[in-house]
Amino acid sequence: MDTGGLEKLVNGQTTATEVCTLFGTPAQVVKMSNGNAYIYTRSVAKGTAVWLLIVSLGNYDKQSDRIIFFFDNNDILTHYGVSLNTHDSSYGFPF
Amino acid sequence: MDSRFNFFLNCTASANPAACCRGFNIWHAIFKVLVIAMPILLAGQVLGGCVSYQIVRSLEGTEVAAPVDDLQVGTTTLKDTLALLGAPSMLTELEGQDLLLYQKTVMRQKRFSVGLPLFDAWGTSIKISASGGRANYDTLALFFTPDRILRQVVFKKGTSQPYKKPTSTEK
Repeated sequence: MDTGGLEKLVNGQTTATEVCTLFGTPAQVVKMSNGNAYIYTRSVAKGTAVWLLIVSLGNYDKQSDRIIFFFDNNDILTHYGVSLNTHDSSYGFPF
Repeated sequence: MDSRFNFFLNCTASANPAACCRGFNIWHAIFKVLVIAMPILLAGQVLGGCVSYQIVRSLEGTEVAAPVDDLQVGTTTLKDTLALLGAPSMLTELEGQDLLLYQKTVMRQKRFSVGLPLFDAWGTSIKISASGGRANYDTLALFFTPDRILRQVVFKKGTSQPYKKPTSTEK
């Protein structure tokens, strides 16, 4: 997920249209009590499967990068939060 | 044994007995590996169709930290929270409040099955299987007023509970 566009954002000034121009279409739009939230997300899943004759082991690890923009009722950016966790996704055993 | 003895005799009678014996040792080692490995592979192939045991774990999300002193009901803002914890896993509006949910999910599944694949002989097969799964969650739920001030904090750490512990006895 490209977070380079975050430097161009100014809380209280940037509009929802400008955010969409920088980051594209959001994956989800959530109606909040005092505006809207635009959610951008990207997930990475790594699966491991081992077959040992009669025993089989499986492990599935899914992590996500998320940027959430909060807008007021006038579609002006008020806050945003960033979580970048896809690099934590790993192969492994189910123990 | 006779064939191996004859091979040895042929080696000693050959033009280069040392090289011949090295070849004999290599083939002997391969033969021993096959003698050991083949029954194991064969048993696995047969048993694999009769008995199987599966263990699967699914993880989603990173560690959820317990609420810290920086999260103060009535004073902490949404901006402070996002700077401290990053983007939440989920968010929604709930009865006029904004709910931010930070969550980690660990799901464990186990399955054991025993069967007799007699379909070709009897036209039916016998199979008994037992399976179980359990999903545990670490959850930090933060409720905000429409003014985006923290109103309530709820934290539950569930992933440390053992897989076998029945949910009915949990408090």
